[in-house]
Amino acid sequence: MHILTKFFVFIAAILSVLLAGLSIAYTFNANEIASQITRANAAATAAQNEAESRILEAERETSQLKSELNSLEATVAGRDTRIAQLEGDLARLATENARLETAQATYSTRIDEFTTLIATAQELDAARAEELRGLRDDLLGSARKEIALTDRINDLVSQLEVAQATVRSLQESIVALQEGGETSGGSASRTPTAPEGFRARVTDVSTDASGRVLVAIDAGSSDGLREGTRLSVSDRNGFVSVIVIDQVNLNNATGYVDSRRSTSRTPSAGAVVGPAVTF
Amino acid sequence: MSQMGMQMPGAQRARKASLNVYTGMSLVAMIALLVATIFVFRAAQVVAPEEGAMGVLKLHEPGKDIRNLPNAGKD
Repeated sequence: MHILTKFFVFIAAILSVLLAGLSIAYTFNANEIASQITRANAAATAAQNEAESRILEAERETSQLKSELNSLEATVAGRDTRIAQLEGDLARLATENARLETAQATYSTRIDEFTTLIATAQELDAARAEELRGLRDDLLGSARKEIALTDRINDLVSQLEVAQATVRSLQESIVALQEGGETSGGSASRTPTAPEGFRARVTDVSTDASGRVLVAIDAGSSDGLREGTRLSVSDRNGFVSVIVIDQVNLNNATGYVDSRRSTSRTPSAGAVVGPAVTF
Repeated sequence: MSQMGMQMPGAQRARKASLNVYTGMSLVAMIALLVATIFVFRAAQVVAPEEGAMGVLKLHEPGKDIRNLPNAGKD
Protein backbone atom coordinates (compact mmCIF):
# COMPACT_ATOMS: atom_id res chain seq x y z
CA MET A 1 0.00 0.00 0.00
CA HIS A 2 1.32 3.29 -0.96
CA ILE A 3 2.35 5.48 1.88
CA LEU A 4 0.05 8.13 0.71
CA THR A 5 -2.78 5.67 0.97
CA LYS A 6 -1.71 4.76 4.44
CA PHE A 7 -1.60 8.40 5.30
CA PHE A 8 -5.04 8.96 3.89
CA VAL A 9 -6.42 5.96 5.76
CA PHE A 10 -4.82 7.10 8.97
CA ILE A 11 -6.20 10.57 8.59
CA ALA A 12 -9.58 9.13 7.69
CA ALA A 13 -9.54 6.99 10.81
CA ILE A 14 -8.62 9.96 12.94
CA LEU A 15 -11.32 12.00 11.31
CA SER A 16 -13.80 9.20 11.80
CA VAL A 17 -13.12 9.02 15.54
CA LEU A 18 -13.26 12.75 15.79
CA LEU A 19 -16.44 12.87 13.80
CA ALA A 20 -18.00 10.23 16.05
CA GLY A 21 -17.11 12.17 19.16
CA LEU A 22 -18.42 15.39 17.71
CA SER A 23 -21.60 13.73 16.59
CA ILE A 24 -22.22 12.24 20.02
CA ALA A 25 -21.55 15.54 21.77
CA TYR A 26 -23.67 17.44 19.31
CA THR A 27 -26.53 14.98 19.61
CA PHE A 28 -26.50 14.99 23.39
CA ASN A 29 -26.32 18.77 23.66
CA ALA A 30 -28.98 19.22 21.06
CA ASN A 31 -31.30 16.84 22.91
CA GLU A 32 -30.62 18.67 26.14
CA ILE A 33 -31.38 21.98 24.56
CA ALA A 34 -34.49 20.61 22.91
CA SER A 35 -35.80 19.22 26.22
CA GLN A 36 -35.09 22.48 27.90
CA ILE A 37 -36.83 24.31 25.14
CA THR A 38 -39.80 22.04 25.63
CA ARG A 39 -39.83 22.72 29.34
CA ALA A 40 -39.49 26.43 28.74
CA ASN A 41 -42.34 26.32 26.28
CA ALA A 42 -44.51 24.47 28.79
CA ALA A 43 -43.62 26.95 31.52
CA ALA A 44 -44.28 29.81 29.16
CA THR A 45 -47.63 28.30 28.25
CA ALA A 46 -48.52 27.82 31.90
CA ALA A 47 -47.35 31.32 32.70
CA GLN A 48 -49.37 32.66 29.81
CA ASN A 49 -52.45 30.79 30.99
CA GLU A 50 -51.84 32.03 34.49
CA ALA A 51 -51.43 35.55 33.20
CA GLU A 52 -54.61 35.25 31.14
CA SER A 53 -56.56 33.95 34.14
CA ARG A 54 -55.17 36.74 36.28
CA ILE A 55 -56.04 39.23 33.60
CA LEU A 56 -59.60 37.87 33.50
CA GLU A 57 -59.81 38.02 37.27
CA ALA A 58 -58.41 41.54 37.27
CA GLU A 59 -60.94 42.54 34.62
CA ARG A 60 -63.72 41.00 36.68
CA GLU A 61 -62.53 42.82 39.80
CA THR A 62 -62.22 45.98 37.76
CA SER A 63 -65.81 45.67 36.56
CA GLN A 64 -66.94 44.91 40.09
CA LEU A 65 -65.03 47.88 41.44
CA LYS A 66 -66.49 50.04 38.71
CA SER A 67 -69.99 49.01 39.64
CA GLU A 68 -69.18 49.66 43.31
CA LEU A 69 -67.73 53.00 42.34
CA ASN A 70 -70.91 53.87 40.44
CA SER A 71 -73.05 52.88 43.38
CA LEU A 72 -70.84 54.87 45.73
CA GLU A 73 -71.01 57.86 43.44
CA ALA A 74 -74.80 57.56 43.41
CA THR A 75 -74.74 57.32 47.20
CA VAL A 76 -72.52 60.38 47.45
CA ALA A 77 -74.85 62.28 45.12
CA GLY A 78 -77.79 61.29 47.30
CA ARG A 79 -75.89 62.34 50.39
CA ASP A 80 -75.05 65.69 48.78
CA THR A 81 -78.71 66.22 48.02
CA ARG A 82 -79.61 65.28 51.56
CA ILE A 83 -76.93 67.66 52.90
CA ALA A 84 -78.31 70.52 50.81
CA GLN A 85 -81.80 69.72 52.07
CA LEU A 86 -80.59 69.63 55.66
CA GLU A 87 -78.75 72.92 55.22
CA GLY A 88 -81.98 74.47 54.02
CA ASP A 89 -83.80 73.02 57.02
CA LEU A 90 -81.04 74.32 59.27
CA ALA A 91 -81.40 77.85 57.91
CA ARG A 92 -85.16 77.67 58.33
CA LEU A 93 -84.82 76.35 61.88
CA ALA A 94 -82.29 79.07 62.73
CA THR A 95 -84.78 81.68 61.59
CA GLU A 96 -87.52 79.99 63.59
CA ASN A 97 -85.19 79.81 66.61
CA ALA A 98 -84.50 83.55 66.44
CA ARG A 99 -88.20 84.23 66.24
CA LEU A 100 -88.90 81.95 69.20
CA GLU A 101 -86.15 83.56 71.26
CA THR A 102 -87.75 86.94 70.66
CA ALA A 103 -91.13 85.50 71.66
CA GLN A 104 -89.53 83.87 74.69
CA ALA A 105 -88.21 87.22 75.90
CA THR A 106 -91.69 88.71 75.49
CA TYR A 107 -93.36 85.80 77.27
CA SER A 108 -90.78 85.91 80.07
CA THR A 109 -91.65 89.55 80.70
CA ARG A 110 -95.35 88.73 80.72
CA ILE A 111 -94.73 85.75 83.02
CA ASP A 112 -92.88 88.00 85.45
CA GLU A 113 -95.81 90.40 85.40
CA PHE A 114 -98.25 87.54 85.99
CA THR A 115 -96.07 86.20 88.80
CA THR A 116 -96.13 89.58 90.51
CA LEU A 117 -99.88 89.73 89.99
CA ILE A 118 -100.32 86.22 91.43
CA ALA A 119 -98.22 87.10 94.49
CA THR A 120 -100.35 90.16 95.07
CA ALA A 121 -103.55 88.11 94.64
CA GLN A 122 -102.19 85.48 97.07
CA GLU A 123 -101.51 88.17 99.64
CA LEU A 124 -105.04 89.46 99.17
CA ASP A 125 -106.43 85.91 99.47
CA ALA A 126 -104.44 85.34 102.65
CA ALA A 127 -105.79 88.55 104.10
CA ARG A 128 -109.33 87.60 103.09
CA ALA A 129 -108.89 84.08 104.54
CA GLU A 130 -107.65 85.54 107.78
CA GLU A 131 -110.58 87.93 107.88
CA LEU A 132 -112.98 85.12 106.99
CA ARG A 133 -111.50 82.95 109.74
CA GLY A 134 -112.07 85.74 112.22
CA LEU A 135 -115.61 86.25 110.99
CA ARG A 136 -116.24 82.50 111.18
CA ASP A 137 -114.95 82.42 114.75
CA ASP A 138 -117.16 85.35 115.59
CA LEU A 139 -120.11 83.61 113.94
CA LEU A 140 -119.46 80.42 115.89
CA GLY A 141 -119.24 82.40 119.10
CA SER A 142 -122.47 84.14 118.28
CA ALA A 143 -124.12 80.82 117.43
CA ARG A 144 -122.93 79.29 120.71
CA LYS A 145 -124.22 82.30 122.59
CA GLU A 146 -127.52 82.04 120.72
CA ILE A 147 -127.76 78.33 121.55
CA ALA A 148 -126.97 79.01 125.19
CA LEU A 149 -129.51 81.82 125.29
CA THR A 150 -132.07 79.61 123.55
CA ASP A 151 -131.47 76.85 126.05
CA ARG A 152 -131.73 79.35 128.84
CA ILE A 153 -134.94 80.72 127.33
CA ASN A 154 -136.32 77.19 126.99
CA ASP A 155 -135.41 76.44 130.54
CA LEU A 156 -137.06 79.65 131.68
CA VAL A 157 -140.11 78.88 129.57
CA SER A 158 -140.23 75.43 131.11
CA GLN A 159 -139.93 76.93 134.54
CA LEU A 160 -142.66 79.39 133.62
CA GLU A 161 -144.97 76.66 132.54
CA VAL A 162 -144.12 74.66 135.60
CA ALA A 163 -144.85 77.72 137.65
CA GLN A 164 -148.10 78.22 135.76
CA ALA A 165 -149.03 74.61 136.31
CA THR A 166 -148.14 75.00 139.93
CA VAL A 167 -150.29 78.10 140.13
CA ARG A 168 -153.14 76.17 138.53
CA SER A 169 -152.65 73.37 140.98
CA LEU A 170 -152.57 75.77 143.86
CA GLN A 171 -155.69 77.45 142.58
CA GLU A 172 -157.39 74.08 142.29
CA SER A 173 -156.18 73.22 145.75
CA ILE A 174 -157.48 76.47 147.09
CA VAL A 175 -160.78 75.81 145.41
CA ALA A 176 -160.81 72.32 146.80
CA LEU A 177 -159.96 73.59 150.27
CA GLN A 178 -162.58 76.23 150.00
CA GLU A 179 -165.13 73.58 149.06
CA GLY A 180 -163.98 71.73 152.15
CA GLY A 181 -162.34 68.64 150.46
CA GLU A 182 -158.66 67.59 151.18
CA THR A 183 -158.11 64.24 149.74
CA SER A 184 -154.38 64.27 149.59
CA GLY A 185 -153.38 66.36 152.69
CA GLY A 186 -151.79 63.48 154.68
CA SER A 187 -150.07 62.03 151.65
CA ALA A 188 -148.89 65.44 150.55
CA SER A 189 -147.09 65.95 153.83
CA ARG A 190 -145.34 62.58 153.24
CA THR A 191 -144.54 63.28 149.49
CA PRO A 192 -140.71 63.69 149.04
CA THR A 193 -139.56 66.79 147.22
CA ALA A 194 -136.75 67.38 144.80
CA PRO A 195 -133.66 69.23 145.99
CA GLU A 196 -133.43 72.96 145.50
CA GLY A 197 -132.30 73.77 141.92
CA PHE A 198 -132.66 70.21 140.75
CA ARG A 199 -132.29 69.73 137.02
CA ALA A 200 -132.13 66.54 134.93
CA ARG A 201 -132.77 65.25 131.40
CA VAL A 202 -135.04 62.54 130.10
CA THR A 203 -132.91 59.67 128.75
CA ASP A 204 -135.56 57.19 127.66
CA VAL A 205 -139.35 56.94 127.27
CA SER A 206 -141.21 53.62 127.17
CA THR A 207 -144.59 52.06 127.85
CA ASP A 208 -145.24 49.20 130.25
CA ALA A 209 -147.72 46.37 129.91
CA SER A 210 -150.49 48.32 131.62
CA GLY A 211 -150.10 51.23 129.21
CA ARG A 212 -148.40 53.60 131.61
CA VAL A 213 -145.75 55.84 130.10
CA LEU A 214 -142.41 55.24 131.85
CA VAL A 215 -139.71 57.92 131.78
CA ALA A 216 -136.00 57.40 132.66
CA ILE A 217 -133.91 60.38 133.78
CA ASP A 218 -130.16 60.90 134.31
CA ALA A 219 -130.36 61.75 138.03
CA GLY A 220 -130.52 59.42 140.99
CA SER A 221 -129.99 59.17 144.72
CA SER A 222 -126.67 60.98 144.39
CA ASP A 223 -128.67 64.01 143.30
CA GLY A 224 -131.11 63.80 146.24
CA LEU A 225 -133.94 61.93 144.57
CA ARG A 226 -136.19 59.54 146.50
CA GLU A 227 -139.04 57.26 145.54
CA GLY A 228 -142.32 59.14 145.25
CA THR A 229 -140.71 62.43 144.31
CA ARG A 230 -142.82 64.40 141.88
CA LEU A 231 -141.03 66.11 139.01
CA SER A 232 -142.20 68.11 136.02
CA VAL A 233 -141.11 67.48 132.42
CA SER A 234 -140.95 70.28 129.88
CA ASP A 235 -139.40 70.78 126.46
CA ARG A 236 -139.02 73.60 123.90
CA ASN A 237 -142.76 73.76 123.47
CA GLY A 238 -143.38 74.11 127.19
CA PHE A 239 -144.73 71.98 130.01
CA VAL A 240 -145.39 68.35 129.08
CA SER A 241 -146.22 66.27 132.11
CA VAL A 242 -145.67 65.46 135.78
CA ILE A 243 -143.85 62.25 136.60
CA VAL A 244 -143.66 60.30 139.85
CA ILE A 245 -140.36 58.57 140.60
CA ASP A 246 -140.89 54.94 141.51
CA GLN A 247 -137.35 53.51 141.13
CA VAL A 248 -134.13 55.29 142.15
CA ASN A 249 -130.55 54.22 141.47
CA LEU A 250 -127.36 56.01 142.33
CA ASN A 251 -127.15 58.08 139.13
CA ASN A 252 -130.44 57.41 137.37
CA ALA A 253 -134.09 56.92 138.14
CA THR A 254 -137.35 55.96 136.48
CA GLY A 255 -140.86 57.20 136.97
CA TYR A 256 -144.32 57.11 135.43
CA VAL A 257 -146.39 59.89 133.95
CA ASP A 258 -149.14 61.21 136.19
CA SER A 259 -151.81 61.52 133.52
CA ARG A 260 -154.05 63.56 135.81
CA ARG A 261 -151.56 66.41 135.89
CA SER A 262 -150.09 66.08 132.38
CA THR A 263 -150.81 67.39 128.92
CA SER A 264 -151.70 65.18 126.02
CA ARG A 265 -148.13 65.22 124.75
CA THR A 266 -145.70 62.43 125.58
CA PRO A 267 -142.28 63.27 127.02
CA SER A 268 -139.35 62.77 124.67
CA ALA A 269 -135.68 62.07 125.22
CA GLY A 270 -133.75 65.21 126.04
CA ALA A 271 -136.64 67.00 127.74
CA VAL A 272 -135.81 69.00 130.85
CA VAL A 273 -136.86 67.62 134.24
CA GLY A 274 -137.33 69.95 137.17
CA PRO A 275 -139.05 70.05 140.57
CA ALA A 276 -142.82 70.07 140.70
CA VAL A 277 -144.83 71.78 143.36
CA THR A 278 -146.17 69.20 145.75
CA PHE A 279 -149.03 69.72 148.05
CA MET B 1 7.82 -12.33 3.15
CA SER B 2 7.46 -8.81 2.07
CA GLN B 3 7.86 -7.67 5.62
CA MET B 4 11.12 -9.43 6.01
CA GLY B 5 12.51 -7.72 2.94
CA MET B 6 15.60 -9.10 1.24
CA GLN B 7 16.98 -10.84 4.34
CA MET B 8 14.94 -14.02 4.10
CA PRO B 9 16.27 -16.81 1.88
CA GLY B 10 14.43 -17.09 -1.37
CA ALA B 11 12.90 -13.56 -0.87
CA GLN B 12 12.46 -11.60 -3.96
CA ARG B 13 12.76 -7.90 -4.35
CA ALA B 14 9.72 -6.06 -3.08
CA ARG B 15 7.79 -4.16 -5.60
CA LYS B 16 7.14 -0.51 -4.97
CA ALA B 17 3.51 0.40 -3.99
CA SER B 18 1.78 2.53 -6.52
CA LEU B 19 -1.16 4.76 -6.48
CA ASN B 20 -4.33 3.00 -7.21
CA VAL B 21 -8.03 3.45 -6.91
CA TYR B 22 -7.97 2.70 -3.27
CA THR B 23 -5.75 5.67 -2.77
CA GLY B 24 -8.27 7.85 -4.51
CA MET B 25 -11.11 6.35 -2.58
CA SER B 26 -9.31 6.91 0.73
CA LEU B 27 -8.58 10.43 -0.40
CA VAL B 28 -12.23 11.02 -1.13
CA ALA B 29 -13.21 9.41 2.19
CA MET B 30 -10.77 11.55 4.01
CA ILE B 31 -12.01 14.66 2.30
CA ALA B 32 -15.63 13.72 3.03
CA LEU B 33 -14.81 12.96 6.60
CA LEU B 34 -12.94 16.22 6.88
CA VAL B 35 -15.86 18.18 5.48
CA ALA B 36 -18.34 16.33 7.74
CA THR B 37 -16.10 16.90 10.71
CA ILE B 38 -15.94 20.58 9.94
CA PHE B 39 -19.74 20.86 9.58
CA VAL B 40 -20.43 18.86 12.71
CA PHE B 41 -17.79 20.86 14.55
CA ARG B 42 -19.46 24.13 13.62
CA ALA B 43 -22.87 22.79 14.64
CA ALA B 44 -21.56 21.32 17.88
CA GLN B 45 -19.76 24.57 18.60
CA VAL B 46 -23.17 26.36 18.62
CA VAL B 47 -24.66 24.06 21.23
CA ALA B 48 -21.43 23.60 23.17
CA PRO B 49 -21.49 24.63 26.83
CA GLU B 50 -18.05 26.27 26.71
CA GLU B 51 -16.09 28.39 24.34
CA GLY B 52 -13.12 27.16 22.46
CA ALA B 53 -12.32 24.17 20.34
CA MET B 54 -12.28 21.71 23.25
CA GLY B 55 -15.60 23.03 24.48
CA VAL B 56 -17.45 21.30 21.68
CA LEU B 57 -16.60 17.93 23.22
CA LYS B 58 -18.05 19.03 26.63
CA LEU B 59 -21.61 18.04 27.58
CA HIS B 60 -24.33 20.10 29.31
CA GLU B 61 -25.24 18.94 32.83
CA PRO B 62 -28.43 16.86 32.58
CA GLY B 63 -31.50 18.57 34.02
CA LYS B 64 -29.78 21.88 34.60
CA ASP B 65 -31.23 24.96 32.99
CA ILE B 66 -29.19 26.11 30.03
CA ARG B 67 -29.03 29.86 30.55
CA ASN B 68 -26.83 30.76 27.60
CA LEU B 69 -24.89 29.21 24.79
CA PRO B 70 -21.49 30.92 24.66
CA ASN B 71 -20.95 30.24 21.01
CA ALA B 72 -24.50 30.84 19.82
CA GLY B 73 -24.84 33.60 17.26
CA LYS B 74 -21.15 33.65 16.37
CA ASP B 75 -20.58 33.05 12.68
